[in-house]
This record gives sequence, C-alpha cells and structure tokens, in this order.
Amino acid sequence: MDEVFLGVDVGSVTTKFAAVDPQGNLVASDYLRTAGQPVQAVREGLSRMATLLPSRVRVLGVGTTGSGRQLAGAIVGADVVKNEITAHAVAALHFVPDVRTVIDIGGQDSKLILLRDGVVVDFAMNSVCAAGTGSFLEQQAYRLGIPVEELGRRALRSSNPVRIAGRCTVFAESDMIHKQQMGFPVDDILYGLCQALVRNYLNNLALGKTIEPPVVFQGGVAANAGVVRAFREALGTEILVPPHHEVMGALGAALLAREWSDGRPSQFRGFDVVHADVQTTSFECRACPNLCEIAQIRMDGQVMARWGGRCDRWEVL
Amino acid sequence: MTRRVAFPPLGFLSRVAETYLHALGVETVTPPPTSRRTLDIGVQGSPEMICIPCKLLFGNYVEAAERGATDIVMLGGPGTCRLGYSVAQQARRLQEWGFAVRVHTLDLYHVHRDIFRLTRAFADGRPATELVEPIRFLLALLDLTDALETGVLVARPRERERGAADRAYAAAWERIAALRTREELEEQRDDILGLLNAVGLDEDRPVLRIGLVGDVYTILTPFLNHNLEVQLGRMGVEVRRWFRYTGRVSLPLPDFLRMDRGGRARRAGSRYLKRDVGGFARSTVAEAALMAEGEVDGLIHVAPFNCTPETVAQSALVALQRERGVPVLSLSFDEQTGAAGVMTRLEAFVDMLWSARRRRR
Repeated sequence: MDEVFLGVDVGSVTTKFAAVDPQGNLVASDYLRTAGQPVQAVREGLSRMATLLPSRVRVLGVGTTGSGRQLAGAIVGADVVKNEITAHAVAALHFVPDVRTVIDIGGQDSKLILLRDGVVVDFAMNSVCAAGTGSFLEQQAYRLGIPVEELGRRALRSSNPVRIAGRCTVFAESDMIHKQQMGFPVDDILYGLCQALVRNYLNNLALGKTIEPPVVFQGGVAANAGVVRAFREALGTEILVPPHHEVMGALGAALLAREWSDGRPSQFRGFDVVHADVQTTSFECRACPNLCEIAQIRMDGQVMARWGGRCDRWEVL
Repeated sequence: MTRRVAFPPLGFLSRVAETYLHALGVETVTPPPTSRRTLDIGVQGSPEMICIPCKLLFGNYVEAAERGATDIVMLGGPGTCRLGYSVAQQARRLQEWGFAVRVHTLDLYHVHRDIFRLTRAFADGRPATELVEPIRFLLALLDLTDALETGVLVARPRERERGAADRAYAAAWERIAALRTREELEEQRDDILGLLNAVGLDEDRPVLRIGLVGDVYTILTPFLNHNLEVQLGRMGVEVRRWFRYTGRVSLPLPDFLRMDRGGRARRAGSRYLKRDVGGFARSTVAEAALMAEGEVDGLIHVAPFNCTPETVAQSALVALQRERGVPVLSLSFDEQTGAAGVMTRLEAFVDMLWSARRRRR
C-alpha cells in the first residue's frame, strides 16, 4: 500500500498541497487560488489531492504552514504546524543540500533566508510593503493587458530595459504610465518592472545581509523568467529554480511531518473531511477594553479551534 | 480640590510610580490598560505621521483625565526624540479637548532630577528633609521590582503549570501596591519574592535566552507588542530585558571608569554607536553589545514603526550581528492589530536559535 506525508501551505493568494513518499520524494502536488476563502481552498485542494494519489493511499502525517497554517491545521488535523520560514528552508535544503541563500517571493509577501551548513542563520520577511511581491507584478501585467504568465517571456526579449521606480507600487505605477506614454516598447517596460521588483527586494530584505551562492529562488514569482534574469544580473550569480518552486512551502511542511512521524500515529482526519460542515464565525471579546476579534472554527457543529485574542482566554477549548 | 495624579500605564513602572505617590500621601488615578480604545483616541488626537507610542500616550492621558485626574505626568522632555515636541502638542490638545488638567513632564534624559522635582511639586511645600525617606523607599521599591520582573521572565519558560508564573506575579504585585514604608518593604520582601519562588519549575527544561532591546514603551506595552514577552515565555524563551534599575546608578564618572553594568555596556557598545541620537538608541546598542558577549542566544530589537532613534540603532545592530555573529531579529510595531506576521517571525527566530544551539554542541 502506498504511504505518503501531506503538506498544506495556505498562503494569502494561493493554497498549495504536496505529498511525499516515506523516502521524501514528491509524488503529487497541486495549487489553487485561496480567493479569500481558505477553508474552501483547503477542502477543494484536499479533494483534488485525493484524486491525484492512489485510491488506497495511507497518510502517515500532515504538516501545515503559511499564514493560514492554524486554520488549515485545525481542519485537516495536522501533526505539525510550522512557520513558513522553516518550511521553505527545509524544502530548499531537500533539493540543494548546500544552499546558502533562499529567495522566496509569493503573492503577498517575500522572504530571504540565509543558511550555513544546512542551518538557518538569518532571515527577513517584508513587513510593510507589497511592492516586492507577485501581486504587484500581476496588477501591472493586467494593466498592460498581458497575462502574467507571459510577462516573464516578454521581459526576456528586452535588450534595453527602462528604469522604473521600485520603492513603492504607487510610484512604480505612475512611472510606468509615464514611460509607456513616452512610447517605450512594452518588453523594455516589463523587464524594467522585473528589475524594480528585484531592486526593491534587495534594498529592503537583503539590507545589511550577505547573499552567497548557491542561491535558490522559489515561490510563485520564480516562474517569471524576467525576475530570474534580473536577480541573476543584480547578484552576478546563477539562480537555481527548483522544479516544483511554487509548492515548496507545502513540500517543506510534508517533509517536516515526515521528520516528526518516527512511527507515531497521525492526527489526520482523512480525505472525508472535505465533506464536513466547516463554519467560521467571529465575535468580539468584551472581557477587557482590547475588544479582540476572536475567530472560531466549528466542524460539524463542534468547536475545533479559536484564536485572535491577545491573551489565551478563548484558546483553551 | 484634592490633587489626583495619573501616570500613564507602563507596566511595572507605572505601578512603582503609583505606590511611591501613595507613600508620599498623594492620591492617584489609574488609567485603564492601553487598549484599542486608547489607540482610537490617540489616532484622533495626533498628527498622522507621529510614532505609535506618542499616539498611545495621548490616548492614555485622555483616559486618565476622563477618570478624574487633575495632574498628569507626561513622558518626554526636550532632546529625547519627537516625544519631546509631542508633549507640548499633547498638553495643548488636552486643553482644546476641554480637559482642565495640569501636566508635568518627566524628562527621560534627567529622570533623577525630575523625580526629585516632581516629588517636591506633589509634596505641597513639605521641607526637603521629609522627602528623603520616601525617596529611599522608592529606591528600595525599584530594587524589589527589578528582582520580581527578572523572576517572572525566568520562571515563565520553566513553569510546570501554564500561567502559574503570571498568577504568582500578579499576587506579588498586590502585596507591593500596599507597601508604604521602607520598613514594611524590608519585612515583606522575602515573602513577596517567595510567591514567585513557590511556582513549580522544571529546572531541567532546556530554554533559550533572548535579549530584548529597543524602545521601552514598546517593550512595556503588551497591546502594542502583541504580548511579546508572554508569547516568548510560552515558546520556552527566557527574556532578558535591557533595562533594569539595579546596578545602573553610578557616580558621574567618565565611561571608562564606570564599573557598573551601564558603564560596561557603554564601553561594549561604543564601537557601534558613539553618541546619543535620541530615544533609547544608545542604551539599546550598548546593552545589545554587552549581551552579545555570551549572555544570550540571540537578540530581539523592538521599535515603533518609523522611530528615528531606533532606526539608527537598528543599523548599528546590523554591524553588531555581522561582527559578533549574534542573531538579531528586528520587529517594528504600528497600528496594525494582526499578530500573524509577528508570530511567524518569532517562531522562525526561535527555531533558528535552537538549531544554532544544537550545532554548537
């Protein structure tokens, strides 16, 4: 019988799934848009995974990560709920054991992870700005009427990129409009945009940090050949994009579940959980003037988890 | 009208201030803990670009005035940072909003001078000789609370029963708040600290040590820092705050002659930041440099978003991290109420420090 470990990465824009066999090889993966409905995304993704995997598969462990890791963990019955820095580092190490730098750019956030001898020694996440993320590229591609999938390929054709202000999406957009009205070729504007994103990333996240090869680039934006080229030119080093770069967080979560397992029984609720009635509600706690917004997850009528408070008043069920 | 003095909520510092004022025979008003309401008031009464402590402090002052304070002690004073200007603006805004309160500034650069000045102001003409004893009580109080603050930070990651350390800490504070004289304090000191020592600890549990440096308001306001110290405690981290009163009072000697911790920190930090740039930046860097000499596994630097002094400190800490190899996590806080980003960083940082420790073995 086939045995797997599952990983679920609920990001702000997409939700990713990965399954690895007991040797750590990726056997199936999938991703879909979170579309603001993480519960729905987890259910739908899980049922899609059930069809991708052999019908009599046994799940030995489940890990969740991403900004929706607690929610996903409560729904699927996760054995490991881990932050995305650790998950991404684990996944990068799996493909490139001597990796020293991981660049991860997703839909709504970006990360930089520095490793030495297989151990994370420093990291940074963007906190106050979306100018260095996938949503920004997508928005601008949409404005130019170009599918985001095509953006990278077009940017590669540029031989004379236009300089676009990269500090802020608002400035970048007005700069782009200006350059476009001046008559610059779209390909050059697109590559200028990729360079702006890379400049923003290096000036914010990498500030004061030493980026050393091997450099692994993962996350949804790694699919964009224009950004890969801009990183290669800015850093003067080869950029490695792993084959399943868009599901690395989920893969890391699956690998962490595998590490955790050690023969222990999994909490996984089974693929049937997709049919469960999951309700999320929220209320305002009035126990103190903080008025925290408490989110509550019910599955088939039973409260599975609560969070959102500054204290642990509601966390204990 | 009887004077009713309020001190803004600032963790143990405001409790010390209140207990001291009671010992002086001054009535006090306790403003509610900093909350979302405080923030709403603060945002409404402050310039948009000012830092979050300034906004929250204004909310604190309003909430104190609403509760009937006649006198408000404001933190600031010229030369500290924007807070210096804010105090003047905030005092005016309070009048504009119709609160007839007297405001007193506690200059963060001249704390000792101002404690004495404010003591005289609130003592209503009592001769200075009568104030010696209350001030000695205050010093003893600071010494006791230092021990308590350190104690709870040490106990939290090791407690066998979740929440036990915080319950003992609260009970200890109830006892401290009732103290009025130095004799009472000395008599009860062991009992009070004993409450915390009675918490069942797992001494064998491995814990990480993390130095907490940066802006004091941010460190002492759980509402702002998303309950940082308690969260870290639950993750098995012993937090070392950079500021303690004990061992910091020194004769006015040049740095190279000072033997106290403050002096040693100044010497360790002078390589990274040589002079005062406002706020707590110099102390932050100095203490971080001293803690980096093997006292901690890593450092967390907290700052209000767009705080100028702490931004300078942050750059100095980058150099410290590079030269001394001590991991530093910088967190900046603003009006946002979502805690997800903070928790992700804390968890990742703790994971990272554990693997660094395993590797050293």
